[in-house]
Amino acid sequence: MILTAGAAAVAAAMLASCSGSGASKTGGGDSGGTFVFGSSRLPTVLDGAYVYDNESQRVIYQMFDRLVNVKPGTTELTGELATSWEVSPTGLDYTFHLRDGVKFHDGTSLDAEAVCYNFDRLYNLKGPAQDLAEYWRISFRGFAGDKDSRYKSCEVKDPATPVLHLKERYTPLLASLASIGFGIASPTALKKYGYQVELSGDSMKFVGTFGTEHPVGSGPFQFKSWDPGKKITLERFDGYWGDKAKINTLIYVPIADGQARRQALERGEIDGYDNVAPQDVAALKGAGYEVEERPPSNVGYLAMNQSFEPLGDLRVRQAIAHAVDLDALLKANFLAGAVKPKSFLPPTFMGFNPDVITYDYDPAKAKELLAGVSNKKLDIWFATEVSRPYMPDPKSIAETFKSYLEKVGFDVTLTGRPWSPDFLAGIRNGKAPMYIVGLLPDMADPANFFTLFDNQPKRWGPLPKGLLTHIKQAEEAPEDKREALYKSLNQELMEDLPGIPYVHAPTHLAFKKGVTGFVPSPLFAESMATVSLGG
Amino acid sequence: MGRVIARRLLQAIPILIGLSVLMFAWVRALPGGPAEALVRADASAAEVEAVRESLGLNRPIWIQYLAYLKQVVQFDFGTSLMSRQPVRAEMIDRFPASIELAVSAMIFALVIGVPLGYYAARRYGSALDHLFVASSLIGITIPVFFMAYLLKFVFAVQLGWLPTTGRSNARVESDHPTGFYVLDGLLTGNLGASWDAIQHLILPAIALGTIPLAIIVRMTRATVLDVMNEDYVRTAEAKGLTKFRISSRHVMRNALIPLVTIVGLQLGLLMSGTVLTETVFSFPGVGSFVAGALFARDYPTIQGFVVVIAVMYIIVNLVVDIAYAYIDPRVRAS
Repeated sequence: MILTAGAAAVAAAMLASCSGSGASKTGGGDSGGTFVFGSSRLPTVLDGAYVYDNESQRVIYQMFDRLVNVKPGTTELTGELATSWEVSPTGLDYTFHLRDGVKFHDGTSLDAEAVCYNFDRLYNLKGPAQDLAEYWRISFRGFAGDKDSRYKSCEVKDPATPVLHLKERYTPLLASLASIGFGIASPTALKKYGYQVELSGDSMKFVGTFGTEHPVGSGPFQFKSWDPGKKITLERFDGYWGDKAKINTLIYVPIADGQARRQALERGEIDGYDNVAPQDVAALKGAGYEVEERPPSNVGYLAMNQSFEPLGDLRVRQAIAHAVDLDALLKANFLAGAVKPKSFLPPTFMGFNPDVITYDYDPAKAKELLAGVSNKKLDIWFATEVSRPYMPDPKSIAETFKSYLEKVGFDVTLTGRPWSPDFLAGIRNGKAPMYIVGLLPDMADPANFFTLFDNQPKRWGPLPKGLLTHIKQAEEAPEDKREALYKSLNQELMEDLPGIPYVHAPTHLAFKKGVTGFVPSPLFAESMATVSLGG
Repeated sequence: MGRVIARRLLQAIPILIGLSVLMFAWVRALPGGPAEALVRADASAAEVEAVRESLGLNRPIWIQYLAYLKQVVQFDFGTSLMSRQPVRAEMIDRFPASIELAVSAMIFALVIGVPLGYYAARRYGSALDHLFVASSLIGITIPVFFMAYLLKFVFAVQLGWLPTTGRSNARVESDHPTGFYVLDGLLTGNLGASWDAIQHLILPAIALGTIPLAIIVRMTRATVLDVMNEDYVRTAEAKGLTKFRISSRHVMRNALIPLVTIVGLQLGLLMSGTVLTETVFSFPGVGSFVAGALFARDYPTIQGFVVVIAVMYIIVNLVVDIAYAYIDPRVRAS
């Protein structure tokens, strides 16, 4: 130890004497508008059609505009490339009026033809590309040749007016179009570089280079370079139709470990990072860093699969709900700012219902409900090797549930499984009786939360048929009727109690001192164009 | 010599085939599968099945193996499930990083370890000798990750002398014709980039080089002590040769023989040690990537890297044998 640490000290001292401070000398926030952002990893591809994760969204969002978007920091829809739109009374035709004079990064015009080219290319994706196009499948259900596809066509009414025609009504469509899956890309670049996906061994590879080397959109930043595994560099697009980005160069670097991201920020190697560990929030604030909090728009819940006994019995599910002190659970596992849920839907979404049935902490009532129930064995699954805003430490949350449930007489086993694929596959295939999981929304629509219940039937066991019918009805109902339908759905869901929502948790980003203009979004729709480095 | 090399290369073929079968079977025996790893968290069972079908995972396993083997001999290892980059591209990108790190660690261990070992042997029985021996024992027992965290905390976080993460400063512009950043800076005339890369290498290299350093100190000390007691050294002294000539020509040359083997084996071990060091320093090399691949059940990446690392082990061992034969004429004769 003396030897090796001594040698280390000598080497480092020699270095320090000749170099001074490493990163802060070579760069820094005042180095002419270069912003370095620390992500937990880099995107898989820069074509929004093929991604479904926040780290990819973060980068793609800066380069592509959508027809519609959400207002910064909210879930409220607003125009982006479209200044206005009309939906026909049947809900089958969407007419968009495009902003004038918008150019792609390659100098070509963004007009109705370009918009329709984008929709048609997604509709006509083939083979493995279809497997990756998650946003399209969620919104339009099928591709060319599929009978149940909602997409009919895209019509160029005039150069500034594309019209989307659907085969069946899907009211969350506008919210869905605000996602990165529907960023409008340059048709010239798509044709020139290609966007095909092919099978490659046990995986899929991007044969076209649009998404890997030549992503061209119309957003405030344009692509400069991608050094795989190391960094992605974007540059300000001076031909942007809106307010130009304040920083010149935007670099994303991957740092998987949250503690390492914090250290990199403190050392000036990066200017900001996401997913600040809850325990670091106060320390960073205290040290003068700019800490931004996303509104708590997610939900964490303890699911109860009704295929497993005794969970098929409503009294048992109610007893479980009454047995747990959620206030104490939040206090033990989350920071201030975490919200105790009323139902699965967070308050930031349309259709939130504050007056649903609630299950207060009442161990005596739980015991009363359990009278006559002989099988009190429960098995709660939690994910290992993962941390999410709604479960910073899944094991600790599982243990809290266990301790409360055992107090009212349950015999609880905890089962830890690696997040992907074991845990997620266990849920999907109906092998987990109870499990702690959650949802991070990416659409400004309550449907985001309710599709959970009809998309994977095995994960819940038998749910009331009425509930599933009502979920479908709420998706398809005219806009003005939906709020009431979702309010009633919240009540219906909490009556059936397929799970216990335990948290809407805030998430945090940290920036170096002086950084301004970042608007945290409940949907991760966060532009870096408004960010400036300050002094 | 040529026959020795040819024989060793032929011996490697069944080893590699056996290894590829084992790898293929083992990876598929893991719970979960690539289709599960590829879909989004809330995908339905039908969607997973569709992906399984697209990937050909419902074919008989031996057909999957033959298809895999066919790809491997063409140096096509498929596409990483995690990064969606071709595994070959990931290798081209990451092996230079880990090799640069392992070589730096070995240079650190040799440059400091050999003189210290030699010095301890020359001062055999002195307080300094005892100190070096005891320190190296502790050096061997310190886990790499602990050393890495310690160095990072003291020299990067607290003192701020060196960077905490990565292989280069994101703000430094540089070209990478070879993927070896220090060399690239020199080749492209960008000395700032070379210096930046060296700064990023120092702490991980020291952390990784600690164990080999301790081993090299002990090994050098022991072999130098052995050699110093040999008759030919006594003869050389009796002949009145200078101390320098005795130590360079008679002592060190002979003491180096076992050291070469150790260096070769340690280089192989260093590649596995990179997993922890690279993870602590977010160093974009092979180790951190394969560790991530294991958690993500990234089959193509695991298979590809294990095969290539096995090939590298075989090559390193071959090189060690050749070097051994070169240094020790007795090996050549046999």
